[in-house]
Amino acid sequence: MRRRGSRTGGAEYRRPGVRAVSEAGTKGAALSRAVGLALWVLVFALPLAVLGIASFAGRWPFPRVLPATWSFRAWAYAASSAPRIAASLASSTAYSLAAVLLGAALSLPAARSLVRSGGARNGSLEALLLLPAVLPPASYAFGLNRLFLAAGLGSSWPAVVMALTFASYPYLLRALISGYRHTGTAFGDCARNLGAGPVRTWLAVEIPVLLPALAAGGSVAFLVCFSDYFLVFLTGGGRVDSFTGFLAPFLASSDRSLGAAFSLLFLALPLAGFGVLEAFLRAFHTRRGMDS
Amino acid sequence: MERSEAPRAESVTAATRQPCGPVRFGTAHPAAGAAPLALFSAGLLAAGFLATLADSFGLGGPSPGAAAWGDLVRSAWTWRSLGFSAAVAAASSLVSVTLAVPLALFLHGLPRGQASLAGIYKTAVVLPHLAVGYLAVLLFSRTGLIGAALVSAGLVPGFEALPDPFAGGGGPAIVLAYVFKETPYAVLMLHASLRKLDPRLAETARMLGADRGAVFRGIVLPHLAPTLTAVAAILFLYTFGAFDLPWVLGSGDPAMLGIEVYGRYFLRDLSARPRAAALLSTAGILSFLAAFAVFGAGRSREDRLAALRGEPGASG
Repeated sequence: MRRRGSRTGGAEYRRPGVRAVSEAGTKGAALSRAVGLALWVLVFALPLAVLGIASFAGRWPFPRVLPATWSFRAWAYAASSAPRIAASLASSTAYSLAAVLLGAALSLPAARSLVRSGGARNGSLEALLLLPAVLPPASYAFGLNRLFLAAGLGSSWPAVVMALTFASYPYLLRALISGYRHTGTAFGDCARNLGAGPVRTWLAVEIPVLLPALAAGGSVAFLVCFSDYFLVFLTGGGRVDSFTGFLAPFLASSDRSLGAAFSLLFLALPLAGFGVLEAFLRAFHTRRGMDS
Repeated sequence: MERSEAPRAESVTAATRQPCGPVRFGTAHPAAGAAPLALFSAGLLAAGFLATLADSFGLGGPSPGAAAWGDLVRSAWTWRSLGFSAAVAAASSLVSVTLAVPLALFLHGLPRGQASLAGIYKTAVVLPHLAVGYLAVLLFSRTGLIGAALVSAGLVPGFEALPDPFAGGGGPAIVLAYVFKETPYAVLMLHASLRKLDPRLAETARMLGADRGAVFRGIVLPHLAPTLTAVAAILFLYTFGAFDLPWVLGSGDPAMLGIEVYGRYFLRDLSARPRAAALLSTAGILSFLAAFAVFGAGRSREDRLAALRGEPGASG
């Protein structure tokens, strides 16, 4: 397979080859890379800097590029709204976690089966199962909402969780398929052949081995659920609290500082969560003597 | 799960012979594990689609019939909304993947330490669409930061002289916001694909006298092509029926599909609902067929499917 060549042989071969035919490694190339990197950071950090500046802006008359006065008003308002923010964050976190757990419970055996049975004929099934990731939400959301209303689940927490599970499970499934392709299904087979039951095999072998893939897919799925506005708004009917629902009126208002402060808060929380998750995974793998 | 003695004995024999080989007992069909997810997914999709289809025929309403479908074909707003959505989706996905190619190549050429710093580009992937829309207002509105910089630098006399990206349905503003949000995702996917490209191919081509352009056209671009197709399709389909950004940035006429349907479903009387449902059914069928054509069939399906999985191309 080419993978072997590109990972090891390719990397070893690269140095003499590249030096023989290109200017990479010369001072000019290093300088242009550094300038490019500076531009790169500027372009991608600029929006965050704009949010940061706007969140501390006091008076900001047009056409000033920077605010005329600075103020902590937006952050003071955020601090005074802490109970409302905490309630909406708790709700968003709870339904997102519920959707990730339900998605994981459905995706784990599916990923195992798809990898285990392999072959081109499963490509269509895999494509069908991954489709919700690319279907426009509007194309199924209104129908789902009608369905939930007919089933007596309209504007409820279970409706939100099911809709979000549908929208986010493909991210878990694709990470788990990649995970199984990387680790193989032999660990689980081995445990079963040694007499472990299916539940014990899942809990003691399959899930720990797949934890990096679960964490990667789960993080993306969580982010999809946590960031969603439309599905929660539609299926929750305004009765299910969400941080995006809390954020929306501030973004639609003319007060730039408040919208910027809450956007930064929104960005900080998932990033902090991912940091905690990564630290937990590292500690877990170290404790169990596994490669992370 | 209870197991009988005989299969267990067989499994122990199998375990002794090949302990981590296939499980020899209690085996269902290899694909059986996918059944609960397939039922959940197909069940919700089919039931949701049928509910929309039933709405389009006015079933359960005062005057059932197929009139909405006739109106749909004849109505100018249908074609305006579909055309506007397709144009915004095509522009944002094409610009995003086009920008992403040189950016991914630049990222690929960075040494490890600098590449970590360059990872800041991923923050746009984490930002929710609503916040990206808000950023677009802060930056691109005529009284936004870019307009202020141009006016204070004396390059334009006043904000009235600036083009308004929020006019005409807000198409340019929506495209700009999607490009900001989607380009980092495309960079992420293309960079993963580039890491699978054997560097010896390009190096050998250079030794044989190929210039950078020829290496790009003959080696890099063909390697990236399946991922580019998949990413462009994913971005197009997602944007085509999106709601969040058009809701923040759109001005209503013409409206993108999600907004048009939402307005007709919930903000008007019940007589508007069948036409909205017919439009939604049409968009749903078109999206499903397009997605399946890209990811479920064709010669390079496995490469495009790999991109949908979030992996680099299989051919890499």
